Amino acid sequence: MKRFFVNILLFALPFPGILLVADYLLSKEAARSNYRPIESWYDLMHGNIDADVIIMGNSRAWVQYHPMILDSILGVSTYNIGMEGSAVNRQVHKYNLFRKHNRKPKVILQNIDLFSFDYIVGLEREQFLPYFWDSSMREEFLSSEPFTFWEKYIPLHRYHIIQMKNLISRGPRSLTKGYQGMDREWDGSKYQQISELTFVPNDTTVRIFEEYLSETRAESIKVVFVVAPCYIGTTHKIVNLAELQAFYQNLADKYDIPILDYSHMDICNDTTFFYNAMHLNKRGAELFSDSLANDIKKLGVLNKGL
Amino acid sequence: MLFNSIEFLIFLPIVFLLYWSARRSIRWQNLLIVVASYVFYGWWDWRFLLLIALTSSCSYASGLLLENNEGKRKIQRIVSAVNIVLNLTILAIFKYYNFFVENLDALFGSVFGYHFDWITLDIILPVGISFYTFQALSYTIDVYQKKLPATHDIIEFFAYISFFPQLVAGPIERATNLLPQFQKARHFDYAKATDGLRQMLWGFFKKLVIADNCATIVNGSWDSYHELSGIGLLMVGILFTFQIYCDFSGYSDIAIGCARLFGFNLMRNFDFPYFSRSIPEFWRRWHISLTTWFRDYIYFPLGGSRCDKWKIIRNIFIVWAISGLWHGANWTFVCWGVFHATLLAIYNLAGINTKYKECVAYGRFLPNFKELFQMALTFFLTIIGWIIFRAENMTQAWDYIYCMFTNAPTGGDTFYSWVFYGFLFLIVEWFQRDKQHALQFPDTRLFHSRIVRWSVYYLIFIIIIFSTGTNQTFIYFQF
Repeated sequence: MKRFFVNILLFALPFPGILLVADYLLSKEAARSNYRPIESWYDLMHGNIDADVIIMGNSRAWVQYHPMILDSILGVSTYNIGMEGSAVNRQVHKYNLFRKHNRKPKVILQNIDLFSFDYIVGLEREQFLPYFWDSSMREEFLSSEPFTFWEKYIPLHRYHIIQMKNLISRGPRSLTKGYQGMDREWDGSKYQQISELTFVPNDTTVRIFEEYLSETRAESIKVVFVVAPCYIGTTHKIVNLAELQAFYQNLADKYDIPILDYSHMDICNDTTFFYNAMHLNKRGAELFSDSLANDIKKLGVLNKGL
Repeated sequence: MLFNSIEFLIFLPIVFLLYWSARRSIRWQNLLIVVASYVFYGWWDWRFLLLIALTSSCSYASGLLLENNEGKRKIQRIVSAVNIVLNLTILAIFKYYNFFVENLDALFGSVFGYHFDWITLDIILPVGISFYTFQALSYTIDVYQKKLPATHDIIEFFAYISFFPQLVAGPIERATNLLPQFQKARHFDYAKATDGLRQMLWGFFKKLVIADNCATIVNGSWDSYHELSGIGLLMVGILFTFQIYCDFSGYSDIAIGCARLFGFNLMRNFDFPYFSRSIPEFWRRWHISLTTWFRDYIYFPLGGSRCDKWKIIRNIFIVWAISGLWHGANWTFVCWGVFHATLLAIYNLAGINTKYKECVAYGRFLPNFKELFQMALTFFLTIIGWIIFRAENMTQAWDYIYCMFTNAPTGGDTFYSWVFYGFLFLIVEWFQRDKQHALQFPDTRLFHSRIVRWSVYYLIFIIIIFSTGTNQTFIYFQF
């Protein structure tokens, strides 16, 4: 029996070390995956974003703001750090990580909409998998994202949530400077399901957002609020639209932030520019990005910042 | 308590240490097994303990009564009949009551327009009730048939009924095999314990990596099967075929391996069934403990194969309809049983039901073309059977099978993620098909090296940690 216990012990002792080494190596490799949720962190975490303008927001930022169009019109470098399924409570955490690993931008285009001031945790968990070794990522996200005890503390185990093919996926990048145009036709099924929408800001999210606005002001980073186009039918379903607009205006006034509002742009009336109730397709995104770039140029925020 | 839970990870080493600390006294060891097994079982719901205690007490008492009435065959017959009826009544109430009431209600409703669905009960199905009830029945019948003397030690009898490794999903042990093991001193055997750990490791691999990952895809696809192509439906059928095998045989491997840690030998429950060349061979290799239970306690008493052809066919249908019903209170299970009975009857009529006792391609590296074809056909027939088994009702089962042959092909990539582990699993099982379990290493120089053996264990552990599926309960717990 003694032999049995000694062998069990001898077998078990190196195991945590083997797991840690395997986890470290796999995480380094996995970070290079071109699977969209993982790829969206690569440039940011590796300090590759050398941008004057960054775009922040949820999926409506990620699929609607084309950085190459902004680059070509503004003559600066733009990068989109929009985050699928997020509200500003999480967007600010992503911004903090961006600042830790990359240089300071001059301008932030902050997408704001009905859902920006929800309090959301529990995003696509796959995106965080390669970054458990990064202390700043742990601080900003991993402590509060819904990973189980085992996923957090047993090396490698968290990778069970992702399909192998997504982990080892290589080849052309799926994002263009953080942006992904959606080449899709209108699908009204979700729109049909919406009866009405209500704006209810979360206090914690608002506090986080105001702290972030104060910090950017202290660092002389110019923030611009952008209300991106939304299908007009969806806008009409917001029961307290005036309250939503007043909320943005108050914040803008308080922090001296300009607002660019595209909620009534011509394309908002035409479903051919959208793929669902809230998101522009690639064609709509390019038209919107073009208008936005020209308006920013007129606004002169980049010149003021220089 | 589930094998794949943190509770079991703590429970097992504690019980193991206490058990071997008490190795000087069989009685203390048996008592510890009873206590541990009741903790293990009561972890689901303490009320289940009353039921298993009742079943155990009745069967224990019936054994003593049978012995005390030695030579009085009529009284013995009554005692064993009362015990069998009592055990089956408990099983019927908890497992089948609502099923019978609902069917009776549907029948009366359609014929007389009268409904009595008000007498259905809100009953929780105790985990593993069919398994330990059959184990208790085997004891009474064996004592009645004088295959075994009645035990006087209530602790060893309770330990036999409730032995935690195999309590909730088998193997369904025979009293003639397991009970004598509780009566003898157990000595720690290093080789047996390490082989038990190996078997457990392979069982966990099958359950956590193969079955649970298959389950994610199967559960996700089953509800919307209309949207899948014919090939997609076949793939889902294949995945379920692997899911149920790896889920159940994985449990058996863990149970058998776990029992070996405590010095017990449980009967083999699976013998690489998907490498079978015919349906009769499949049933000699699948859920062996249940199949042989039905053979010994129902099929043989009905006359077995020692009667004319049509009676043999009748016996097959009776046994398989009961076997189907044993799996659950649903017509799909009965139809699944009848489906297999039909296939077995065909093989029987063709006179090829007893062929293929050796494992396929014995002594050869690969099967020949004929064997390959036979295996593919048998595998396909089992898929059809599992579709009936998995469906919620027979309408869904027929519709699924119909769509499988008629829906147009479309793309789909969820299947591919499973392919790597599926092939790894199949290759290991193929090369180990003549062994007791897949991690029983061949007696070669290569595997005498500890580095090689431990590398294999590390690799499997890493795969389990890395690729375990979403936690699913064992399918056979519901039976």
